[in-house]
Amino acid sequence: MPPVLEVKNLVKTFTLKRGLFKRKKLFAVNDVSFSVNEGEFFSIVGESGSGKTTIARLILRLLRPDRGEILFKGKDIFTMKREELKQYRKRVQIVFQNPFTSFNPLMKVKNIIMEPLEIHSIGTRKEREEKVKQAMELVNLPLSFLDRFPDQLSGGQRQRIGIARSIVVNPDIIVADEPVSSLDVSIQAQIVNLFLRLHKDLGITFIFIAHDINLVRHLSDRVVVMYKGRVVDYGETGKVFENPESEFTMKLIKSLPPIEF
Amino acid sequence: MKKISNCFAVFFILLMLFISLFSDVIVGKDVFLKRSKKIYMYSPYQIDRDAFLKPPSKKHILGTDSVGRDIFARLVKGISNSFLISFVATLISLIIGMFAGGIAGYLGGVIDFVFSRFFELFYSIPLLFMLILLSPLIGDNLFLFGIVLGFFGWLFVARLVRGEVIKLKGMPFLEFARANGAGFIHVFKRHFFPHLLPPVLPITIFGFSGMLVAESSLSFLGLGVKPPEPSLGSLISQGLNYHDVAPWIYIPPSIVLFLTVLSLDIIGEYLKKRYSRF
Repeated sequence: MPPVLEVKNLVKTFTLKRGLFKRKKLFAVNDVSFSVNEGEFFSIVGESGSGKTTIARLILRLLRPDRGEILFKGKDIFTMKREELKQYRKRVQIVFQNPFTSFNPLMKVKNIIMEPLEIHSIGTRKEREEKVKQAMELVNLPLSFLDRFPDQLSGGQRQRIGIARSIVVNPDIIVADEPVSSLDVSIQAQIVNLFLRLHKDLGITFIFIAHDINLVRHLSDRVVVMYKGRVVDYGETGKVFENPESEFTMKLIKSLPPIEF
Repeated sequence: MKKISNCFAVFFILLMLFISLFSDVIVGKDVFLKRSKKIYMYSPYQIDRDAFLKPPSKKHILGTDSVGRDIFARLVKGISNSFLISFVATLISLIIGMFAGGIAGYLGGVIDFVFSRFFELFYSIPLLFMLILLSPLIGDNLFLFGIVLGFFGWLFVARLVRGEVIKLKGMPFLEFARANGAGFIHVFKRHFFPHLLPPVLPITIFGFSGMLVAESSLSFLGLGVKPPEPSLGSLISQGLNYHDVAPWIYIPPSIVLFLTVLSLDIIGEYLKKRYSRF
């Protein structure tokens, strides 16, 4: 499988203000490189503050890096111009962590899911509605939800809407930024299975960001482990977790409570 | 009951708007022409030498004032003038407030800091004092008076919009739109506008009635509309001089002012409920 997304020597710093003149640089992402193959389930694991979300935001080009590049099918996304960039933005979608703030509370579900179609001006009004319905079916939501508002739905249902909103434009890559960490465990399983099904059926490449090792182990083909903005382990999931290179990964695995029956 | 009061408010405001738009047709604007093309016999400036401080009669339906001018004609013209000033003032304050608040809130950082200090600076300037200073400049230009009032009324709108924009701009749903490459127009139409409308619309309407009262109180002090031009405030202040001998001068404009502000507040309250989902 050829790499669809390559991250090369990515550095992103934030300036922290401390007092009037003191400034401190925070290396949120420090010299990170990895590549994501087409059609694979790729995971980024790390504790909070390790730069996972910053990477997601960089991949979506919501931030610009200080150094390094991200190649999408061989092209640097930060030098892309209008038409190319538009195509890229259509190909890469995101699912957010908190399903309670990721929707405009004044929009109905159908308008929320239709929004990316509107932005990319795909299809006529009727075709858009058809696509929205298809997306709703793909995430197992009843069509009666179309006219509801997001605050009338539960967390799991909302997260499904978040997923429907990202798959409606047929993306190549979905970046899922801790999509299940704010859900109940039973709902988590449903959402995770939904991800797996979409991954298999639609062949979407997933970049799954999480801090739950068990989940990542269960889901992903390959994994990158991050600690304080750096990559400490990178490779196929089985290998990484069986004999990790770094002490941090070791600790992470050891910290899991043993399952006893 | 609520329905009745809403209907009354809408009806009354429409009536007032109609009067202010067609005041020239109803009472004319000329001093001398007695019967040019107008519906009512007297013009607001015309002096009837046979009637000083006369109570309402068939000839003058609301009576006359101390120099023999017809109160009804002056009231119609006064409503028109007051509404013009308030409208201009509200529009100006809305435009400036939306822009300043939106820019400050959206860009944040240093610009927001500068804007906020500027708001506070502006807030500390006493309106009355400035109006006394500016009154030779304003003269009898009603538009200018409205604009000056508007320049002092935008702070409220600006603060509200700034706060709302700051609240919105960090939301993930905007991030999603931006990650999809949404342009400013899309983001404004889909996200900012629907959120800004419920608070801004009633504020605008309350602001309008506030401007009406401000204009009246300034005219009352002699800082607003210059004689012989009538306005609601100047009519009331003139009438109060004769309140015991000629109550028909100040009562009608007071009632009109009271009912207008009340109706606007009822409408504002209704819209606030209608357009906010929470």
